[in-house]
Amino acid sequence: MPQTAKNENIEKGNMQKQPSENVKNTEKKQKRNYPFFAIENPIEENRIPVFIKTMEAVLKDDKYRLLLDLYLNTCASCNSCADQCHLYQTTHEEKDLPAYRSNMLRAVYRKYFTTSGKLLGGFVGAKALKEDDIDNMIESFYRCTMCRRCAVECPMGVDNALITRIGRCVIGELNLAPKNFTVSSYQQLYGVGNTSSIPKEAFIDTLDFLQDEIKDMTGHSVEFPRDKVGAEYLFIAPVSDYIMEADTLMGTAMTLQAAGADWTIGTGYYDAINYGLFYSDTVTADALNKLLAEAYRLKVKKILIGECGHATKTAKLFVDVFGKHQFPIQNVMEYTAEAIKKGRVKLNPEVNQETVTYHDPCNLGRGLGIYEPPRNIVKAAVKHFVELQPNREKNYCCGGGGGSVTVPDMYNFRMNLAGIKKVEQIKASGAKYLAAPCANCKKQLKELVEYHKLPVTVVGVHDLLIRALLM
Amino acid sequence: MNVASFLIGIVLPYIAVALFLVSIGIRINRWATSPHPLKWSLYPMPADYTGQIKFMLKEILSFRALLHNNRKLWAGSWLFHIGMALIILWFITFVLGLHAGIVLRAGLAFLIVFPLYLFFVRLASTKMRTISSPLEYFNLLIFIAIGILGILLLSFNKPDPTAVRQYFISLILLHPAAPPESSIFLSMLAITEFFMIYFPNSRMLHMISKYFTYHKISWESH
Repeated sequence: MPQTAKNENIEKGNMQKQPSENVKNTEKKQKRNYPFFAIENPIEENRIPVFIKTMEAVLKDDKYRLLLDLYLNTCASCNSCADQCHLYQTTHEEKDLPAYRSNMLRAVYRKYFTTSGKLLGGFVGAKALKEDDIDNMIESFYRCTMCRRCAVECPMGVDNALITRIGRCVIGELNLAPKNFTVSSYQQLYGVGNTSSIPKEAFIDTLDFLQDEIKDMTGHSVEFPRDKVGAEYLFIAPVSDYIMEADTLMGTAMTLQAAGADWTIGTGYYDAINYGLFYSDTVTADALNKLLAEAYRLKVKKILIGECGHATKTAKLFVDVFGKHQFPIQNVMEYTAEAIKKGRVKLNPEVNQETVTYHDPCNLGRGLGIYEPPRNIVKAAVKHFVELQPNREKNYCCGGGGGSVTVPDMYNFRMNLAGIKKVEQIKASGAKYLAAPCANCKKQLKELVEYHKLPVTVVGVHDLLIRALLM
Repeated sequence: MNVASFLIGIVLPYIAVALFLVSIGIRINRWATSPHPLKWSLYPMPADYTGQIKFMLKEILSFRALLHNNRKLWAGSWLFHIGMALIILWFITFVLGLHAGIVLRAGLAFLIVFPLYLFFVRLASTKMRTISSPLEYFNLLIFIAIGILGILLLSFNKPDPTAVRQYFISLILLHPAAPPESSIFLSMLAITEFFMIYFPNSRMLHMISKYFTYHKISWESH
């Protein structure tokens, strides 16, 4: 990314260059310290003009003009969002007030893009952008997990999480995004082809391994079909599941086979993850289009996304915003719940006697309204189900949302601050199993359970079906 | 009729009303015709049109979101808005020929007490102070000023109601007569005119912008 204010449009490149390219530029100068997380090749100079230029581009962008115009002008500063925020409820720090965070962007907007702000300055909340402000924004925009619990109860209908996303996109144009996002996305888009850098051969080995594993565990022969041209469904999971969530994948494959689904996995592209949702429209569009291209290559009818909240939301909401091909998008929760309802899949809940509770991932719940299908699956698969309190649209974030779960530097933050409300909720439920159909949530919840020594096992929803399925 | 009376009583009412309507029209038009934004739906959302109407009525009449989550603010802001409604109600009935003085007095009292309450709630809470610009306080002060002037007018310098009514009717019929001779009445008229010009360009327009935050963003399903 050139270090000039060349950002005419937010959609244009904020993809990281390979590490070597910028090394010469940055080594000579005093390096800025980014304490909250590691950043690769941040823009060190002219940050303020680039920021303002980018903001100008965002305000001209059809996708954002109305949002910002409404959100930045409508907030009545009532602070209702603070009472909804799992993070503020834990830290009680100014920088974690949702409205305070949004005001960081609002101050810039008022100062540079409104007449009243230019004339009246601080009186109307306008403030000239300073270097420190940008650093504070990095931290504040990434402390927000974008869970949108505050949006549900905003008396003005303002969604501070969307302001967070726009803020992240703007600072993303200055290459100020966590290294883990940018490096993984680089691998996904220009390198190995997925965010976990799993080569195709290793991926195919894993599919074989999972088939064998199902055979060993259950005695059933279940296939992970590959590259079946013309199948009804292209199934795609977050690629990290192939490393960390074997049970979820096995349960899903067994369910699909039991339901008689005509499905396939694409070995050309097999990663549903889209970190773009968290920091960049360019990445969002490029990763989504790789997925759509694979569906197009395999001539499938629909895309079925595995247990992953953000991937499902990105694909469902943005397919007609950024997509070069159009496909109906379904989440596997919807598929399986329907299969159970229609009687194509039969379950025996007697095998799962322990109490199970369910965590609503924010992107599936508040983002897409998929509240009931996963509950129907869990209830059909287990003997004792309890709700977390509160639940559904009032459920608390796992504490690793907004992609923060992938940022190792934020581990302590996630364990000791962002995840605390969740820990209290899990403890109060008394459940032995906590089911969450989201790779992001599962990783955070597993880490929370281990760190806080909670007597709970975190599973995916389809993990519960491995034993319950009547095949 | 002196210059102030002429400007505030005869010229500015029309300018204020015109700017009020035109500015609101411009804002509505801008929001209504804006291209479809990035999809960012929020669930649960009303399933159909009837559901939307129900939600809106509940929200408009009871301030549902505040009521459920922020009782302290709800009490102040709900009664504050009731005060505004009372003033509007009084004005309409007054022009029509009713003299509901009690409605006016209640409305004015509400416009003093509850904005003042909100003012101090905001000032007293550290976390609300952090997110407030002086503008938030200023907006409340406008209402308090209108309320105080109104009470002063009724208590110390009460113009003949018939003359006031005749004056309003003359304005409505586009045949403006001289306003009643009272400096408090003129001050009140002036501040109301300022308010009408300022209102559409302030965040107080949330009565309209709120419609769009729901209908064009949160309730746009995928």
